[in-house]
Amino acid sequence: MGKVINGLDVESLKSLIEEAKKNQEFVQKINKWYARVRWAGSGFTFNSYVRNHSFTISEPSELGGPDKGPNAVEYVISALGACYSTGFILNATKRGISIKNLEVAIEGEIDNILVFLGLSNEGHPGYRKIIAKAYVEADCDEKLVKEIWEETVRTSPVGNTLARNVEIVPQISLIK
Amino acid sequence: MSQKINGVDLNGLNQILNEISKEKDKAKELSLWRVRLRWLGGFKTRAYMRRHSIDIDEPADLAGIDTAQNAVETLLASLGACIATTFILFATSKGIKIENLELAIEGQLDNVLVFLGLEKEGNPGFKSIEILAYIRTEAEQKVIEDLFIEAMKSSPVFNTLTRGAQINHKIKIF
Repeated sequence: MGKVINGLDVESLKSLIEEAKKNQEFVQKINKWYARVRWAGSGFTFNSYVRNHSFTISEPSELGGPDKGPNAVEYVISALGACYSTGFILNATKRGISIKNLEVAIEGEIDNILVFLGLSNEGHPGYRKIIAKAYVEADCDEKLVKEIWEETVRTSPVGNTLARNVEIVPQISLIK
Repeated sequence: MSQKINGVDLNGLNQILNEISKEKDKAKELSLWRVRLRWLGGFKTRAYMRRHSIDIDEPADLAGIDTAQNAVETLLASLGACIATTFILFATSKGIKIENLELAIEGQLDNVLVFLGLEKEGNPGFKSIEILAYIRTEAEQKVIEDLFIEAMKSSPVFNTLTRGAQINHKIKIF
């Protein structure tokens, strides 16, 4: 085990990046991601299965759910915040910069929630605007931290997904 | 006891919808969603929202310790759950009984090497996402297909991903 910064072994992080440079199969593998979602069979509760993990997605009582977990739009902004955090730590560690503390606060505003509820046709029910605030504690040049943050935002998979238009293709299989 | 379809109390649901459609403040409140995330070391973060919290990590082959799903997997799951929620909501409103529902979601990133800082071409986000829905119901094929497409098009996460949201960001350094 080599030098550890931010809880990450710098040498193995570097060899991972080297691997991505030359191993096409590895790159293809990390370019594709899967999730499965199962309805719990009653009301607004769903379980998601991802590799060896599972988690619950529900709705708060204000939206008629039993509030057994965060809802889907909360998971989306959590994914964004986690993606920024991951990228920030990755980009800081690559430069050998130690981060003492990192916190990200995200707020998202839905364009028109009534479309989701089938109560309106105006606007759309997706997020119109998302504000992300990062709070960073580090013992290094402020300019450098800002540079790492800018790079992180620019290269974030979830950030880019949310800001661009993704093609989504459904296929329905009916079981009688 | 009022009528329940798909485990949802229909009267209760209609009452909620009625209130939201009448009270502007309520709709506004339900339009704003917040989370806070704390870094726990390595690539692990914990997100806090209302009375819940979830962990997000990276798999071992991406230098994480794999204590939870990662950010892009969380995103795919939220898309699936959002469409599933909207589908159950619309089916229930129309009195259609659903026996079983499962969604398999597969997402293809445009170029993951941009995220790793190895390339500048393309973007590191999802280029395309496929959703396979498995639905067990007595209702007709055409009715269910139309309902699913309608639900998908009314889903908040689907709309966010297909339209593109404006993201503003700030950083505070201590």
